[in-house]
Amino acid sequence: MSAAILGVGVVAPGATDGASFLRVLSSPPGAPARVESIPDTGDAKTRRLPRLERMALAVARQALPQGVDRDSLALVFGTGYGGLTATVEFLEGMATRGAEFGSPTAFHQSVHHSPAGQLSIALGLRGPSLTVSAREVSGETAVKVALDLLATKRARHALVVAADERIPALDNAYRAFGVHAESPGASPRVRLEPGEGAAALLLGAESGPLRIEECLLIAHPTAPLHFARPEVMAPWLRAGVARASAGASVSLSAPSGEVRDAEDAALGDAVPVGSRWVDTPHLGFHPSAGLIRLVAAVLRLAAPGECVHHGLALGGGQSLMRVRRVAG
Amino acid sequence: MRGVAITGVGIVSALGSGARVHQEALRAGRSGLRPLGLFSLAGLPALPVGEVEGASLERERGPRCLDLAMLAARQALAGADFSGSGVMALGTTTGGILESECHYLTHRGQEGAEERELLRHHSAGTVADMLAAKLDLSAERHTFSTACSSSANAVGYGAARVEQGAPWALVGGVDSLCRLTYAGFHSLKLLASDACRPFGRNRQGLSLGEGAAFLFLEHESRARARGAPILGYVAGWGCSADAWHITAPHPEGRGAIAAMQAALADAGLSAEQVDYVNAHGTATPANDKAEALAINAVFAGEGPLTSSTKGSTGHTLGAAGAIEAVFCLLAMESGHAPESVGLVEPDPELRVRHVPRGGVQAPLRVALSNSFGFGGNNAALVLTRSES
Repeated sequence: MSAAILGVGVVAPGATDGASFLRVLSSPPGAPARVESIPDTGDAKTRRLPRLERMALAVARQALPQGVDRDSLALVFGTGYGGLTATVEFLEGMATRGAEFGSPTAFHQSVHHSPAGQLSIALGLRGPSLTVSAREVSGETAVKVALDLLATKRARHALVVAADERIPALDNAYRAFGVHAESPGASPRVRLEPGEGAAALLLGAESGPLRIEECLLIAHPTAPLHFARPEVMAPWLRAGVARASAGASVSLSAPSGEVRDAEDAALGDAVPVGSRWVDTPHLGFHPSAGLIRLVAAVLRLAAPGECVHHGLALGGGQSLMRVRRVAG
Repeated sequence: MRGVAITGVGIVSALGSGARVHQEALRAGRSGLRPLGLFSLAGLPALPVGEVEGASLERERGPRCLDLAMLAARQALAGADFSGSGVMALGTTTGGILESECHYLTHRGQEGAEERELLRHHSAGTVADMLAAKLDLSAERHTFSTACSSSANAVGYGAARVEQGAPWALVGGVDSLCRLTYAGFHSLKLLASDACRPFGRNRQGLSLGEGAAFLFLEHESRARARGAPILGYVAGWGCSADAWHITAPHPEGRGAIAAMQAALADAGLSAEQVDYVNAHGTATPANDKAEALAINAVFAGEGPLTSSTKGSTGHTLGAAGAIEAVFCLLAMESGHAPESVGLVEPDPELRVRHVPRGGVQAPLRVALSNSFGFGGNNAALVLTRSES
């Protein structure tokens, strides 16, 4: 199944839309931090939403043009951790105020599907509405599900949104496992730099010059909190590149130096070094970074060309997508 | 959807473990609800919940959800053929949060220790990762987390993939009781002080539960070629969003109507052909009212036999859709529509055709199962006894 890409949206550290995102990508990567500014329409109701939901709403609005039938539009939301701020807030409330005084607002915001519900309400979306979670390939998984909704004619258009937030508790968790970039003694090759952000794509069943030609997912049985071993991951990546046209670029997952080396080794001479895009240092490591990298690929494909997008997740998940722009 | 055969099922809930145990419990009108014992929370009473007895579970190295999921998945996989690149689709709301919340509440404030389990268990996809590793399954892996409709969507998605050509799909759902949902539903004032009474005049709210159910799906032609018994079919899946309120259903059941109609259209069946509806039926005042209105809108006349099985199992949240899909299969197999345990005095304003006490023996060929969740998410599944 392939689909036309009809709109994109992005919010990332230093970027509030596609244009500012391209500027971030063209600059040397700094340590990604939090998203400083989340664009909104100024209404008070939206501003009261938690950050995760405001990021999701901002990118959805960017990707969604006027004229799309919202009554039948499918929404697929991808997130690794959902409303983590709300979860921690609820647990803190239980610990400090007592279980009988839990916050009902924090409770419903802790549900992974809460952002999708808020998007439906804010944008009037009444079609199929799904939330998927697959650690660091959550966004890619959302794309796959959206393509299947289009293929089975459950929708003619599908809005894919992914969002994840960086919070101190998650940073502390990476530190506890000794893989945080700021952890004393963490090996530079395995350390991860956490980040946050959101991205959106509007996909359609119609024809169009810019398309997702392929989206494949595999999950290798792997120990928890480990990536798939190089010898397991590499054949899949090589096969994906072999299916692409000559001269295609590759967007590497590259969550750490060690994994990037494994991806480079897997590609060997098949893809010139100059055609390998390494965007994760700009975005940070988080479950929605894959969809943000896909938006980066779409923005770079201003002229005819093709990109193979590779994703890897803790727990053994792996994804491959091919995005192509043709003349016309 | 055509030809998506169910060739294996597995289930664990407060009623016990295994399809036969559940079939007998439903026929007997038994409830698995008893006072919460898995954990205690100062300031909150131990209300009736559908808690799985520990003796049923083999302790895996992982969250309680993994124990529940492994037990049900192993039952569903007995005799399954995994050749080819299949799909695993699991629905869960809380995943491994019972463990991460416990660790957090115990170790909060201790530098370097407090959030370790948050990373290990909090992502909803973790249970599927661990389950696949335990079962050594190299499959495309999907975790749906659409609150209380999670596993209904997982079943529907997996079935759609089989119809598209996937050789097999392991689909289902799991959720365990945890402090977050117990205190959370209490904060929303949605918990009943005694056992829940779906569609009852004096219904007060829901009783929480836990459990898991899995179905092994493959195309009918593949099942027949290998001589696998066909237990039934997933014939239709519909899902929708209310776009109304983050925790309350649309008051007229607009999204629920859309989901049921989409599932029936997907199955190529008319509303008149449905023999039994397993309602979402949480026993909250708002859900049961909106769902009854939606059922009235979809089904003309007195409508099909309708019951909620949440008085037997409690509301198992993300697992409910898969558990209740298995209940529909069991009902069709035995020709016995189960009663709504806990329903003593029906609410006269909710005009659905309740299954009477003791259940009803009747030929059941087509069943529809509803699952609705936070965020205004609605899912409906149509299951059939035979393809014809």
